[in-house]
Amino acid sequence: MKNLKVKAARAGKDLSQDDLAKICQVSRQTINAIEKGDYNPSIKLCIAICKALDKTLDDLFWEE
Amino acid sequence: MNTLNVVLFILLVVGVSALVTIALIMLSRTNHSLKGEYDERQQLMKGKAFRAAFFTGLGYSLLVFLLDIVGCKIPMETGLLVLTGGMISLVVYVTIAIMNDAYIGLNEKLGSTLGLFAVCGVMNIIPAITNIRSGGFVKNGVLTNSFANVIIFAMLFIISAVLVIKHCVMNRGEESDEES
Repeated sequence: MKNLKVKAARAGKDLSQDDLAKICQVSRQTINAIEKGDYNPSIKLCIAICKALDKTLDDLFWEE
Repeated sequence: MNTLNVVLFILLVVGVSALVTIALIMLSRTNHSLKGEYDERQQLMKGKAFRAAFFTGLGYSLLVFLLDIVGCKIPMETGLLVLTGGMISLVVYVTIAIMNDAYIGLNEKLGSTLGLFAVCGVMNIIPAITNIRSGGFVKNGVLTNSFANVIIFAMLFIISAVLVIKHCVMNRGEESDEES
């Protein structure tokens, strides 16, 4: 299932996948895989993404 | 050159190669630019690729063993037979890693990786051409170990082609997905 929340938050910050990848110290393909729902990140990476996008874990990774 | 000189020369080459290898390993542990760095997804994918390569190697060994049992003689020297299995496993490992964007590390560039492959390819194709000119690879109906250079060159060519196709064609599609 696609993670549109991460994609929307990234777009809201005007960051490209490459920019977010560099901040989180992962590859662009990893960010792409997370947004497409192809990869479930570890809690460590989830926190790094949340910090980069100024969001909480609930905002980005909690399914309603 | 008598036998003693040949043995001393081989020992010298092996000794120098071992020293260079140890020096490179020690340097890669201290210098992060020489050591590939991978994120968590890449490490996971590399693990999956390694598992697939391991079972491919196991399957190849079993196939060669079964062919030997039924008396089917493979017209290759033993060393070449072993190397072929290793190279097939390596191609499986690298191909799966590339297809999952896990082969090139975070601190590595596609160009430098392809450059390294090109240098290794040239280093293998030159002795292969020399062998073709000096009588070919078959001796008494058996493919000799000198064919190893051709196998390594073919492996490097396949890996380079997969790398170029994946990074230049498939990832371009992903980038356009990002815009939508």
